[in-house]
Amino acid sequence: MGVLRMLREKGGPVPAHMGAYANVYTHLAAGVMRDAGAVRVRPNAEVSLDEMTILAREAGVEVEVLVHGKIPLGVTDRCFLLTEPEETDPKCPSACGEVHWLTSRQWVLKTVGKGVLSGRDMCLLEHLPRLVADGFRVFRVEGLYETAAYRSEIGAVYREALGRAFAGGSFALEKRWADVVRRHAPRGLCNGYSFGTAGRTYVGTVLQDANSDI
Amino acid sequence: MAELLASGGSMEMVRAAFDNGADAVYVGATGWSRRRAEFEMDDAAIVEAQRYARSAGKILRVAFNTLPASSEVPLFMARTDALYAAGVRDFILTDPGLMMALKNRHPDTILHASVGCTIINIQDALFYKEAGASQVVAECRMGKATMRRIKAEAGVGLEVLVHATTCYTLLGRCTMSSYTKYGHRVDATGKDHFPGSPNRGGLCYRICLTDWDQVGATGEIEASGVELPNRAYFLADDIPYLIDHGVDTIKIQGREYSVPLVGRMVRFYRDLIDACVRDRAGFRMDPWRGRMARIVADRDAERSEKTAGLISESLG
Repeated sequence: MGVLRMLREKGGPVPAHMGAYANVYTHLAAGVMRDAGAVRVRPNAEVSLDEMTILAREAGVEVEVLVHGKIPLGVTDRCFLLTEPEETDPKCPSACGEVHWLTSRQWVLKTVGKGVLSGRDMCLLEHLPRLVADGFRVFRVEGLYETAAYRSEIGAVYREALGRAFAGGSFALEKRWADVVRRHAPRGLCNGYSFGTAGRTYVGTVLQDANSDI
Repeated sequence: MAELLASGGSMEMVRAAFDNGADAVYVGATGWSRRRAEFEMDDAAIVEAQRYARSAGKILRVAFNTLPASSEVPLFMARTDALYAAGVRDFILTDPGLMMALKNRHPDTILHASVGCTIINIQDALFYKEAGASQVVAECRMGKATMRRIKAEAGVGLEVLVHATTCYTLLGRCTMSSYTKYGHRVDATGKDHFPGSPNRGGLCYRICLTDWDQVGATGEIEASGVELPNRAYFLADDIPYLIDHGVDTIKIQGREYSVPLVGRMVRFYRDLIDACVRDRAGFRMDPWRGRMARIVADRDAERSEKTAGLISESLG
């Protein structure tokens, strides 16, 4: 919020996009961000698709939907992959570029040191026609802390699938899309809070078998 | 003179907090504050608490500091209207949109920006001031230099938590609990309590406090029993500093603790603050440490028991 305010003080030199940690849950909060200079908001991960539809309609600001990738679950101010300060620990800056999971009971999270991400990959591939029908036009594939192959291959799948969803007509999930998505999700798939459930659950009929126990 | 603000998780706790020397007490409106319903209050109880506060010449603040759904905004307006009509003027909020809406509707309300706003610098403080807040709560990790700057330059009140927990993440920026378990419970007023989400309903399963293993890309265990630190603290050494620097409110969190424990905590801080103000030059911390250690031990025992219960509930 402070950064948004600083941008406004400088005369709004760049169009601001509010990330998930701006904690936009309501259309009223989105409206405050809009009036403060934001042109796009990404609601908090917990906001469902039904809620996002209302938010987008009432706030009059572009809403970005996370359709694929790790869900941001928490952010902190200290890197928990390091044992010494960032300046002196030889593991910095490589540690957060490696893959480190946190596991306990049936839960898996991914740690990137100063942040916690979901273990499973959020995936809304089979629900794209609904998102298009609901009026969403900005879709995000989260590539943070992922490989170049992840970004390019998942990105290509969504580009093709979105093209088909926008064309209308029947929309069936291609097996090659599903293969790519599964290959890049070693801890399984979920679709976050999109349908009002716990973030790690998968709602759908096509890819739920990729939702492994661990 | 800094105000001592304490938690009111029940009518009994409200009385205990005021009777032990709190200048102000906060309570949560059922379904709308960052705790589960058993530690919140319905409107009749809030009005009763407000009467008790007023009769003692003190302040009651009502927290509506969760982040609701857009469709619940009319419920918020109706409920705050009713409390306003009953004489409540002091509210604690998180959503900047709700702040603006309430301030526009009732300009004489006094709004405080909750710890859930994650205010970590002066620009954040100014953002919430512009949204209508006259006081902001410092994020638990805020350093003294930032506090000094906000006090000197922001023109907004500053509140500091002396008894609270420092979450593993920045408070208000965590959905780890709801990632594992999250549900919907709609009460008679139509408000969803979003159990499992601390931001939306207050019930956090504290899964950060379970035992974690850190596992590498190929499945090898890199470390066992990894701690995601989420510690309860009890600040006393900083009290003289907070008073000297004009911090407006010193807050004791703890609606979920037992009434006798909250009563002892409030009495401890009241006595400490009074002793410090009475003789600033001669004030020494050492004589207070024994009494403080006994309170902290009892607090830690209550917290551990609660944490174990929450984690096991998350598995159900």
